[in-house]
Amino acid sequence: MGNLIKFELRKLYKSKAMYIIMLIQFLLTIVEAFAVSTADYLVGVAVVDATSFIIFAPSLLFLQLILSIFIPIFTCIDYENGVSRIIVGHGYNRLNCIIAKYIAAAIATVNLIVFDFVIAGVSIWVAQDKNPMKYTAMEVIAYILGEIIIVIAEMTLYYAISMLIRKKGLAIATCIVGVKIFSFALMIIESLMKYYHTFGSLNIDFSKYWVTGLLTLWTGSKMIAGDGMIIILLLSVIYTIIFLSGAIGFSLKRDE
Amino acid sequence: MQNVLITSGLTKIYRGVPVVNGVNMTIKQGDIYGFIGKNGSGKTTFMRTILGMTVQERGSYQFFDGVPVEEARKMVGSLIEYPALYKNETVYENMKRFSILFGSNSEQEIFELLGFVGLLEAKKMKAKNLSLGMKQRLGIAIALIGNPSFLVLDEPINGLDPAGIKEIRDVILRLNKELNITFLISSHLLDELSKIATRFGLIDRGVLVEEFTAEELNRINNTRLELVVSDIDRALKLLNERIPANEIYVNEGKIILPNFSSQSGAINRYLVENGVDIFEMARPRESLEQHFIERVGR
Repeated sequence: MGNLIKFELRKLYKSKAMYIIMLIQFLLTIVEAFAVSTADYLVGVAVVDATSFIIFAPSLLFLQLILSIFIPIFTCIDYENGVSRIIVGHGYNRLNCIIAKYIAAAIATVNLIVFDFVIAGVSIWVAQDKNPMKYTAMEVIAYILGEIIIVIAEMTLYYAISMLIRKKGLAIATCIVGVKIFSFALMIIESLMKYYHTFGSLNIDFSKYWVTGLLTLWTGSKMIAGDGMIIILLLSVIYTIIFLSGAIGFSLKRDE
Repeated sequence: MQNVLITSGLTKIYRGVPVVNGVNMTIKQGDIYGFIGKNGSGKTTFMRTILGMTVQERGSYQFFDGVPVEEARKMVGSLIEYPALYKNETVYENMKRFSILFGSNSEQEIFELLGFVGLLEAKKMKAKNLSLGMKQRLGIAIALIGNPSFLVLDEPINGLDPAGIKEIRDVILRLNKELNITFLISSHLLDELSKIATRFGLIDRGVLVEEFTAEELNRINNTRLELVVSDIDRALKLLNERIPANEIYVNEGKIILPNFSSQSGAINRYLVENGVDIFEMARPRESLEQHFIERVGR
């Protein structure tokens, strides 16, 4: 297992895609930091101070879209080029292969999100934003940790899709378009259920708790008020378990 | 002598069709086992099954006289269907990744293997820019990482020019002779395979039809009799009265008797006395290709 993880990490850190993503995000952050320090609103989001800029960094830097592209590329390459056959042929069991690849994907995700927070913090400090801080340092840390858990859940969905499809192009399309269509379908079902009073007088909005909406919910919640933040974190963990189980289930008995 | 691979009743079924059907195969240490069959006969599926890439429905296999399979596979290298390479990475980086994966991670081994397959000068070339022969050699170099005792190569010389074929052939013979590595090789190029293999297995529609050694193939040449006659049907009817049917073949208008060259005189007399003229009687050397065609057809 150790050799498998080292192998996956070598692939990850030799991947040009990750460094290109980080460079683009770095350039984007600089532009946005200076814009924020001179304007009250940015990209339709009320970002008025340095702490908010840091908390919203993953959304501002399109991290979710980036992961929906990067994770399929990283995951599917070994299936497309036949390396997965070599791995299994050399005696590694399929479960270890799946877990090692997932660990590397999770490390890549954490790398990218932490990078986003760091460059956001540095950029806004350089830009010398003068607006009063909206959040305390502890709150910023708590938001950041929560975002990492939520983004890992979303990454796990993309990982499961990639393990099912095993082809880069189709997996990327499914992660971007397929997931959006699913979210839309959930909204339609929710609307129909409300229209037909399925839950009686209760007003249940379940579509916003789909995994791709959790980050927005989290960053829009108020920590002091609680605002269901425990539920968001719990859902993230549950989604992670379900999607990882799906990835294992799709791959365990499959021919290489 | 150690048995590197023994399969017993190995069967793999796809969509109700047994693609590998009850195969019993034995490969001994030091063998270069030539695995021959038509397209779709089950060679690749057999290799994928013993390598764990797919799971059999029935039967079993064991490596190295019963070493646990997951341990045994660490001593097996493979090149199945096409070399599995990271096309946008260099030759060196490809070797490095697999070296880490196989637990070797030795720079010395990487350079030695690249030298052995003649790719040391190309170590900084990206895999996508390599010729087909170079890619095959890189695939073999990767299969050799970690000092495997057994190499499974599926069509390693497919698509190569004569120079490339010779290179691969020389590599295989060197590895077998110098390092005593055992090989299971499938190929359509029967003449090439006949130059290096020490044992052969013929597979047809998933069934292992025949196994024989290179010496046995040579012995067949010494006992083989070919006849061209005036009335083939009458000749077959007459011969079937004296010779078992499974010892008579017909190929391209000739009657072939693999084991009766020593009785050519008696056979000649018998047929002529019963009204069949003999136009031609010969004891030719049978190539592997001819033997294959006779046993499994075109």
